[in-house]
Amino acid sequence: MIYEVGMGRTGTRSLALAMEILGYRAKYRRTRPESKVLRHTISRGFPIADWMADYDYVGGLYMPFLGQLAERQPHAQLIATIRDRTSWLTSCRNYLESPKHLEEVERYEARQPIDENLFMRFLMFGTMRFRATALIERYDRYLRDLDAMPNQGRLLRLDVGAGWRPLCEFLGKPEPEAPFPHIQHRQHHAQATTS
Amino acid sequence: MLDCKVFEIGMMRTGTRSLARAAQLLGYSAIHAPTRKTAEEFYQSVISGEFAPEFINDHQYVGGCAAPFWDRLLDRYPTAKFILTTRDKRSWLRSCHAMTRHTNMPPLRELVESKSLSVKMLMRLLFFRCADVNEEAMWSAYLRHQRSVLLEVPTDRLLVIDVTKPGQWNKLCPFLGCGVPDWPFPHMTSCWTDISRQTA
Repeated sequence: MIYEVGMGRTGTRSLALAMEILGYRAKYRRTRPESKVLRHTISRGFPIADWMADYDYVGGLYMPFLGQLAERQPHAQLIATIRDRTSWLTSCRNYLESPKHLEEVERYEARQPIDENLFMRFLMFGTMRFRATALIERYDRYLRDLDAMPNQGRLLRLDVGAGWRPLCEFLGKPEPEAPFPHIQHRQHHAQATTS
Repeated sequence: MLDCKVFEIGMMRTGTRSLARAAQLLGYSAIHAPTRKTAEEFYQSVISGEFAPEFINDHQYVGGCAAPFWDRLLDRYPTAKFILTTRDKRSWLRSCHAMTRHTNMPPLRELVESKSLSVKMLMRLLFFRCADVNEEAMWSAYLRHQRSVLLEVPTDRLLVIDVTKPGQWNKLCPFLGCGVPDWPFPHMTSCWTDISRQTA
């Protein structure tokens, strides 16, 4: 089993697609109908669901639970997507200042039921608002947590901009001919908002 | 003598309230949780992820609410000292259960789904990392918090203390650089424990 433990806005969706191209049964958390997993995650303190047995790769769920995952799955391979701070921060701004996110925060502030996606985002980014300092502190904390993990051999830090090679070397797979998938975050989010 | 800044960074339900009282007795201006007046500021500082509310600068001893942000405080207050409160597994879990069972507070899960996710609830989620009382997840959060603190806070700035055990003045006072008082170490029974005793 392979788990993606990357921070939001570091190419986690693109990686899920790449894993599919490589032949893995890959799942990214947002795809329906399994979105219930977020509700269960908040209540149990760890993402776990029956449907996971049908997949070789799960993405978009485990970053806030890195410590627990490392303990519970001592032999699983972990992929942490990373990205340079400046472009990551820009992407965070686009995301956390998008109308969709702001609307969710507003609803939450008005004491409406909290949206699971919003809560997951809070656990991940450590903030509900775009705050550059808080985000950078969170990101650095996360990188330190990665460094502190035992058994570094099972962990890949992956910059999805680097293409197939590092990923395929880690997985022991030949490099495919198809280009490495690249999902435009902003575009994707805009579509999600209007759909 | 009492010019040094102190943050208590123990998990919820580890005697943090008693320790804040002890700090007060030693002459510290101590705060255990945000007051009604500072609640909104505190809330904003938590959800913005910044944790820089003004009131933490107004007190020498800040407890109860700083633990999830300990690593940032470590960098921001390079001369501050830190106290990690600990408690044995069984009694800690029992206390956590009591907190949710015997209060007016509904289980966290319901609050997440209801319209009243307050600061307190948010803090509980940050501490326990789960909404239901899930012993495995909670204890694992406890251990990981302890491990990170022990790993990263320099030993000369850190005191580890179990206030449920006797002899705590002798640990606390030398760490803070003050004399040992002759009155007993305070023991604040929380409202939750009281109620659980009444109904038991």
